[in-house]
Amino acid sequence: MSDRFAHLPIAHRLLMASVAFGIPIAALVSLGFLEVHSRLAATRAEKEGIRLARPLGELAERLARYRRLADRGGGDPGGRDDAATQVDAAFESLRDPAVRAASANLGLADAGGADPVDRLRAVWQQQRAGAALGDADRLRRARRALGEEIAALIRRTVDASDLVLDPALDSYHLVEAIFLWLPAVETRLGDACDGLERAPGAFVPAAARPRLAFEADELARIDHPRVLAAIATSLREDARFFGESPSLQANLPPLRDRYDAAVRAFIETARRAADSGAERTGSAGNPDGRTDTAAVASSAEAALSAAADLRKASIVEFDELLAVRETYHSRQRLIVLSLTLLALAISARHVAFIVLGVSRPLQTVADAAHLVATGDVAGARRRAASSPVALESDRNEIARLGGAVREMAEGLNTLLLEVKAAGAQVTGTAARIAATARELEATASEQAASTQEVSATSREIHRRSEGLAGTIGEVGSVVKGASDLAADGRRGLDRMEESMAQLTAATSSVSERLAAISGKAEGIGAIVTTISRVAEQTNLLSFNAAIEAEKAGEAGKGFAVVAREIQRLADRAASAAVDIGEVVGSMRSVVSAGVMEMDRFVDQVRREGDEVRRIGGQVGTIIERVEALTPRFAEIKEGAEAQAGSAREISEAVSQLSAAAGQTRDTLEEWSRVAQGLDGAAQTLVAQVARFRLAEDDPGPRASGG
Amino acid sequence: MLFVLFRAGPTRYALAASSVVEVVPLVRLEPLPGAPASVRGLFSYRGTPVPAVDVSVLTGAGPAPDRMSTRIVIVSWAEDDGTARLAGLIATSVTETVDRSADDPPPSGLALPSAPWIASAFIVGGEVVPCVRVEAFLPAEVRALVDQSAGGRA
Repeated sequence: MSDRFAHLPIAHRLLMASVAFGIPIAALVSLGFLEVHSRLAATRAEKEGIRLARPLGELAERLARYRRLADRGGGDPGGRDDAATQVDAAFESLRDPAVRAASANLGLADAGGADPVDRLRAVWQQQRAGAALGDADRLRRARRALGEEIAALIRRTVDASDLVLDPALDSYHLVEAIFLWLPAVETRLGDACDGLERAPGAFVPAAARPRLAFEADELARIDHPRVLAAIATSLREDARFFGESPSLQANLPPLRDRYDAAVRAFIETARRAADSGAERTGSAGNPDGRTDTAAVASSAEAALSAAADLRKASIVEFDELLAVRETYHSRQRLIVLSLTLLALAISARHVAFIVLGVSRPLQTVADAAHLVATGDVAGARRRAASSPVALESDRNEIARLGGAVREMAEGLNTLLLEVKAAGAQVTGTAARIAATARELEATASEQAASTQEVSATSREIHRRSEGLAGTIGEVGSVVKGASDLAADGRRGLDRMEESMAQLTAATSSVSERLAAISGKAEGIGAIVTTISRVAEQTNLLSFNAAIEAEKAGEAGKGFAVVAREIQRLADRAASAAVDIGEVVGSMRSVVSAGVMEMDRFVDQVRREGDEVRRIGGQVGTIIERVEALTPRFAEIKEGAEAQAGSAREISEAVSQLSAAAGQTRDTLEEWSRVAQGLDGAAQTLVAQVARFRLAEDDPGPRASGG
Repeated sequence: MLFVLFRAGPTRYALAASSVVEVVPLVRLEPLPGAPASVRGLFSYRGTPVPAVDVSVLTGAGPAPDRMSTRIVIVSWAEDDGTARLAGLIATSVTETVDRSADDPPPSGLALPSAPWIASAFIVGGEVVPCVRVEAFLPAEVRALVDQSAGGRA
């Protein structure tokens, strides 16, 4: 059971919970409703009772009058027949279908299921038919029994319709007055008049006096005050139950007053009749005649009539009160019903709101989760996108759950996209690794082949090295001869170097002399410069002298001539100096050309000497090297032999290398297999990811939603 | 009448010996900041600071080359108020004088508005030589400079 409950949708659970809450509420509501309804039903039962009790009361009253007339006997058969006809009419009114239905509803039927009224009617018709026959006493008893039976039927009716249990005090006391105390008064009045001769001037017989006084006293002491008290209570309490009834307050008091007055008059008359009767036993007559039996009977008739009027009016008012109460209860029931329905509608609407508010987002979340489970991440993302973005502060758990699922779908999408990309990358990388491994494998194969070649080559080198060692031995002896020849050449070069040194020394001496000549020529140049400067000074002097002579006028004329002569001499000296300068300059240029020529020659001689020395050195070096070659050839020979040995070692090492290359190739094959395995794993990963439908181009609702 | 000949650029000029005080070799000159371009500097003539004016610059032929024949001609003139002024003219080829006696043809008179400092011209060896008037030859700014230096001496 609990397992089945656990699998129910939330909406159904909420529905069950609301039903569980609804049951006590409905019980309470129905209790309240039933309470009102029962009150209404009681009021209706009272109305039914009244519907039956009213004609029954009418019947009882008419029957009592007939009884009074019939019991008295004799004189007035017309009045008696008239009363009997009225009784018939009352019985006829009791056959009305509504009244009969009320009787059936109240359950007044006899043991045989027949209506008691029908039985009583049959009894009445028997009595009426047999009125002329039989003795008067039996008839009187039978009439009395019929009256009592009708009174009993009235009480049963009142009991069955719960009229005496009426909840409202006004109607309760009114019912008391109508069905208990007023009939009691009427019975008492009827009993008081029983057996009195109604002849005018007849007095109450002595035997009847105490009964009359007793009846009057009882009426005054018990029955009449009860009626008055009930009416008064009803009038007083009227305002407190379902509002004051205006017709009750207006109609009842006058009739009560009339009834009160009539009953008081009867009591007075009855007492007086009883007393006067007593006085009259001692005297001969009663001159005022007021207290004879006729007066008593007429006052009793008046009191009975007033009581009947009061009763009828009370019944009408009681009916009115019941109608008011029924209206009130009907309205109350309507109010309760409508309030209940309104509350039910409101709560149903709230339940529906909660259910929808919970189940719809949950359905969205569940759909999104299911889509993720089936691999449609893009669909889940779209589905979850309808969920509102959850805030951290959001207190609605459902909204937060929707937001979380939405973010989860986003994250899963991103993650799977990355995994997909990574898978593609791994595949590419694995392919590259495999390709590289194949290349390396090929390279290793090539290397192995090359190593084989190297091995062969090194064996060849070994063979040749051995040949070379023999050849080198022969070369060594040839070199020895060459060394001797070179030593001769070196001696000739030494001699040549000495000659070159002598030539250099001679050239230097010539050069020094030329330099001395050049120095002398420079000295002459300086002297010429001095002469030309003196000549210039002289020129300037003579110039100024000429100017001064001019300024001196005629006195300076001779001086001017001298000055001009000096100027001319100075010019000539200057020109001579210029000539000397030119000669000396040309000589200096010649000498310096000689010096330069000499310098060049000296340089050349020096270079030649250097060259000869260099050649000598080189030849010496060659000789030394040639001499040194002889022992080296021995070394070379040893080296060649060692090389042959090394070549053999190389050959062996290369063989090992070849083996290593083979191992490398094997390793590479293994690597290639591993790379293929990696590729396979990556393909599986990509295939797994491909199970998920992803949103790749769409930037996602994150942007639009955020 | 004796004239001292000199050159300024390609042209040969003559200067009356009466206005020449002395001819001296080209000496070292003290540069004078702020002076006109033609004034090459100051030098001491017998204890007196005298400005040296390059006539080649004055005649618009560029600065005079530094040769042995390039000399300074000390000239003097009288200002309008009668005070005597001294200045040095830097000129090239100051090596010759020419004597014009009364028998020679008179110099032709010249009155050029653009060159008022040329008083006359005569022929020497087939070459036309303009004769220069010193007081008009020197520009006013140079003369003002001379005036100041002369004033300092006075």
